[in-house]
Amino acid sequence: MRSLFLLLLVAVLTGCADFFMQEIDSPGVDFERQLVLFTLLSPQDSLLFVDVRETAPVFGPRENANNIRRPIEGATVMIDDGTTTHELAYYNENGQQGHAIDTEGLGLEAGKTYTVTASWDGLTATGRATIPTDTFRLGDISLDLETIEDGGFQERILSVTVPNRPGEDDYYLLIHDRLSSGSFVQRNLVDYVRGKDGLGESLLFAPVSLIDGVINTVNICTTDKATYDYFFSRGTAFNNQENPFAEPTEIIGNVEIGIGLVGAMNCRRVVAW
Amino acid sequence: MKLLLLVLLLLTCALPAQKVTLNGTITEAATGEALMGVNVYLTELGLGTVTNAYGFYSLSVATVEGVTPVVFSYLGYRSDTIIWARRAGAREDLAMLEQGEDLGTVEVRANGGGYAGGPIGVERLSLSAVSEMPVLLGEKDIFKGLQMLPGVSNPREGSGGLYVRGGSPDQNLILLDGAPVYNAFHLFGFLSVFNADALSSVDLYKGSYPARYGGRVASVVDIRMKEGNREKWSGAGGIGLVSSRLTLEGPLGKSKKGSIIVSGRRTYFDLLLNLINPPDRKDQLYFFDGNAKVNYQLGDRDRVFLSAYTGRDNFGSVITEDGNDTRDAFDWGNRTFTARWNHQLGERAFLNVTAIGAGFDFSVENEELVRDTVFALEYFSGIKDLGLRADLDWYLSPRHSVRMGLEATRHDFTLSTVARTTAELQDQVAGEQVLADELAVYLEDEFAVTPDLTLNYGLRAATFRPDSGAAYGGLEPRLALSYRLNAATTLKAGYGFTRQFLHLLSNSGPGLPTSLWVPAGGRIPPQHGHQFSAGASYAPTTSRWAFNVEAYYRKIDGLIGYENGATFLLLDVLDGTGRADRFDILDKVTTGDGRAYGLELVANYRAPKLTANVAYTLARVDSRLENVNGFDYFPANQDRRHDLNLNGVWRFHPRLSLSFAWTYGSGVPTTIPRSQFTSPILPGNRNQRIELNQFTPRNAYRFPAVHRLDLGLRWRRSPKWGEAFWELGFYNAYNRANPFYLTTQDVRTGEGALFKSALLPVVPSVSYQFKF
Repeated sequence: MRSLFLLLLVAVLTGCADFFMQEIDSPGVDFERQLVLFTLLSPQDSLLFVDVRETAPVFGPRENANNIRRPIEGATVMIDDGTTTHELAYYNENGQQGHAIDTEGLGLEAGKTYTVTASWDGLTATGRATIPTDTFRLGDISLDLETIEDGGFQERILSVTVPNRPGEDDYYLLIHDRLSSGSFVQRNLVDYVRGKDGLGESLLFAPVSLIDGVINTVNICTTDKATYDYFFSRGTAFNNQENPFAEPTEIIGNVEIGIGLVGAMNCRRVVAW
Repeated sequence: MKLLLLVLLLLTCALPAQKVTLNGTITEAATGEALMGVNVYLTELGLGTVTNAYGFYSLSVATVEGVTPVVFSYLGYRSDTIIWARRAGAREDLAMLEQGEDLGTVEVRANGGGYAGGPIGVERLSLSAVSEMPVLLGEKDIFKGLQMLPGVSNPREGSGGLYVRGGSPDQNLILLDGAPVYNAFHLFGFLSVFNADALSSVDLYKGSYPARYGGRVASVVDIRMKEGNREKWSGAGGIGLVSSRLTLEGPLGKSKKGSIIVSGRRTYFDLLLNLINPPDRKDQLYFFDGNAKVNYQLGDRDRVFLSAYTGRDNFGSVITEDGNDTRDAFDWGNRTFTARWNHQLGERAFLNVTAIGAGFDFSVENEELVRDTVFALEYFSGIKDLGLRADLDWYLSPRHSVRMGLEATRHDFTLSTVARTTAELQDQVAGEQVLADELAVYLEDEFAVTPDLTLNYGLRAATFRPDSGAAYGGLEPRLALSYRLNAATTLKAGYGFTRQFLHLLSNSGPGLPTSLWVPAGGRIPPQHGHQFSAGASYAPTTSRWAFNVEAYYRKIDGLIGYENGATFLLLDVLDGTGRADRFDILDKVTTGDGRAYGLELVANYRAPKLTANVAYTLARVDSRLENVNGFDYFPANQDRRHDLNLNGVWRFHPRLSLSFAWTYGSGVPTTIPRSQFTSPILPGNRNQRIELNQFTPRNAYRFPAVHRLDLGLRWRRSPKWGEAFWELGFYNAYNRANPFYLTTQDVRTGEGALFKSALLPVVPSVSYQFKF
């Protein structure tokens, strides 16, 4: 009986292997080439980076694969503060890549609105952001450093708590910069938080794991709704990949014609060794 | 409430003074089962009534000298006539004999002859027709019979739902002996949870259903279990390759004042699979269900019933590797319990008092045991109901059959529980519980305006009060009318306003029983809607053909849906406050409205050797949700433009019959990626990037069409002990790969493709069915 059943199962599985997953010959999905523009304006950063890439079709051959995986070096990127326009140059050093400009010459200011435009191969993308004016007072930020033993290793964890302001429209980012010898910078997005009524008096960010041997800089930033929505929807989309229970995620951006984000933040910095 | 009393008063004033009443109970002669819907007709007066769910009828007419013939008729049974001396009232209990061969179709009540009154808008499924339909794995399924009706569909294989006139599965009130069944499917939607052997009737109200039903906005499926054979012990069952079932029924005691029925079924595919599994793997792939019902007659006027149902699907596996166990499980199940007391009040009234318990839950678990440390994750959601209802059927006159009643239900929702356990950290997050009371009163009148025109009008008042948060309620008017134009043609129309306080929060991906029941309250309003329908049926008595056409329009407000990107995982707080560390389900939910309209066409052909039905539905269903597609209307998940069903039975030999069912449905909408791109985690970051998809607007893409042919060959045997059938079945006979879900994959470097994933190829089955 057991052999018979096994035989039957093998016959069914081999005979029907192609049945269960079949390619649809002509999906009939319209693809539109677009530029993907991504930047985050911050008066505290010494360099402003703008990442410009291109979308690719999901179905069929992707002839522009290189422009998906890395920034398009040949793109023209401009930033305009309403009175002056600056062009950004391509930069690829110290673990950083993209179009960049020294913010000292640019003079990014809180409360000021900037327009970023990228163009390449007949495509254009543009977005606008105003740098938030309100930042935390240092006295409002609560830091808690803890050392945890894990498998014989010690890990230093920094917890950051900020006040939850009344109202529904306050948005925050926590960014961790690690500067090692040779000026190699590794920047990580630790958390994005929306403060709202009902969450209590304070907001606790996800913890930051401090790395020994480098300069750890923690940026506690106020940001705008567009930036928060972009990171939140992008995080949701990433987390939902291969999750059959999840709705498809629309990544919410503020770029016109193309897709992506021109975001802004205003940060307080805490340096830890 | 004042309005209800006023209507009642007016009806009472309409009563003539001198009346005599004929009443009684109609049962089936062979089993003693009560017969519902028997036509009781006074031929001379052109007046009549029908029996209620317990076989009770009452006819009151003016006193006269002389006698009046009373005709009792019921499809599939021999008609009977008695002579009633109308000087005085009388009680006439009748046992009707089965007629023999059933025509084996889904009957649509067209009132083709005799008394024009009776229930309007109800379609009664012929259980004998269901028993002849080709089936999956040898299991008879009433929902498959319902899905052959126009306006009823299952948008895609495995989607696990009954979609009636554009409604979603949660908008159907599915009752088993009066208790709601919240998830009516086994096997991810391939089979219903109801064992057809244990059922006595299945009624579907597609549109403007009577005021006695409420709490759902689309349809009512009223399923009643058999009471049990009061005459002798009998049984029925089936033995298949992967499942078997057995039903036993018989009288209680020698007095035959009561009866009992017990039935159960179970699949055993897991037992077979584990025979060939390696020793370190154990699979759990089965469902079971069981029904039991007891009734007992307490004197001439009282009867009590107890009935219960339980059923569960268990899917999971345990894999042992290097001494470590990994366990995955996905379980869901329903439970119902009903205790009922019937009491005949005087000659013209019939009281039912019912206590109801019902529950549904699902859980998704993953547990890993690694070096004595347990890592576990569990999602759980459930709903439990406790209720009490009283219904009074009052046969006021042959022209007015009044029903009134009240019901109270206590709902208990557990929305989700997340539990994690490790050696260092015990983090048991308790489930969020929401309690709410639902109350309703109703009054309806079945009014035979003329021998050819019947109205059913009614009013229902319902309220819903969560223990905390906003309360909702209001009036729900209902109207249905049927007009017999001539002996062959009947016109019908209906309107209903319905209100629903529960939502089923479902995603638009593969249909799994992971949808959450969410009560109205706070930021989530109740669903409410209008439905208009009109149609005609044409069934000439001299023809083998009958035709039915119906059009409908529905408008529903208060729909809810997931926001873009939302998932049920980790949604465990309903409208919670002060929980910065947890997700709030309402942050993931958006609200809106919907509309549906369609045209349904049916043709039935009945001949001694061939029975065939064709049903076609042209329909459109749109939804509109805030923050989705710019709040424009978009095709709802269940929007299917064309739905065509063709089924029938060919009895080509006295002992052999071939049944067939072919279904075609145009593709339902879904959302797929249309382009892809990558992004660094932060601008300038060279070493880390994520790959992302840009999707079409919600439901802007269509699945390929689905079509499938099922065949069944039935060989009837007549052993000494009863009746038996060998059945050879082919589900999906021409092996069509009907899509269950769509997915994208790279077929080679730098080239992607869209794939459809199918669930079931051609599935042959052999089963042995028997009755004794």
